[in-house]
Amino acid sequence: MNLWLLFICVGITTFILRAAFIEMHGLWKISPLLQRALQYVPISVLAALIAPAVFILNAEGFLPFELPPLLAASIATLTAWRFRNTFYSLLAGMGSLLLLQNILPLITFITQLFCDGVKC
Amino acid sequence: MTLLFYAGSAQMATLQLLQDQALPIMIILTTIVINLRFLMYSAALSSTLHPLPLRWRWPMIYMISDQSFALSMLQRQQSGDRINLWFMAGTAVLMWLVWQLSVLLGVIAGARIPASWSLEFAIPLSFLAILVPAIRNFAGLSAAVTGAIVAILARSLPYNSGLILASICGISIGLFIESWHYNYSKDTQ
Repeated sequence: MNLWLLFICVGITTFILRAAFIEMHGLWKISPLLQRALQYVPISVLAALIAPAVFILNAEGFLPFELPPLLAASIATLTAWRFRNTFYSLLAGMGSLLLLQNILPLITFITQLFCDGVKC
Repeated sequence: MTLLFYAGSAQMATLQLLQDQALPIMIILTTIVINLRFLMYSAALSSTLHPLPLRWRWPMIYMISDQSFALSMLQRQQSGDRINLWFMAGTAVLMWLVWQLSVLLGVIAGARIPASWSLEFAIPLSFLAILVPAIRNFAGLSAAVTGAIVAILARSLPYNSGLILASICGISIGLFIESWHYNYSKDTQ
């Protein structure tokens, strides 16, 4: 099937989703319950988007999840909580991830500088 | 693709499915499920965007994204329940521009960037940076935790329905705790 046609279809359906309640505003009534529920939409959706990306399954190790993304996300969370600044928490998160991901080979490298070849 | 529907997670999923040579109808259904959250955003934004004339409304609708939505909601909370349309437009336009430019950059230079840089982690990080300030009470916290747990447990559900399920669970728990809290404080008065 034509790729462009597919993308156009997806584009249209996505726009309909985005526009639905906005266009129908006078016609569809939003009940008070729905209004209260809507406040939790961004929180739940964001959390649901974040979680699978942070808690990546790991076969080995004593934790079922991979450590660097977990720790990096925790650091980012603490930074966001303490400083309430998007940029800082992004910086802290990416920084700690790269640090943690590279620190293990780095430690290995440094110890090998002092040791003789493979063994110590 | 990115110009036509501008929805990152759906774009990724579409790419995946195209590589797997899935049926076109399956791809469309999957993107609908992934993008159902825009229906929720639509409901949240309806009172604000509905009064706008069509030539402003439809571009604004097109540019609704997770980040600009979350930022606008945050700004509304912090400034007493009114959404500043200029703020919203600003975040939306900037987000859209940056996104499209980045995709362009990615097309040109993407293959050269080493995978060890883990740049894809920036996506959930940016969500996290918005999520944390948005949690203001215990109900919000429980909604987030519930959403996260269900999303992890349901990650292998087909067509990304885990996302929808997790959102619904999160919203339900949030509502439940909120009304429990309200009743509790009424009883103790």
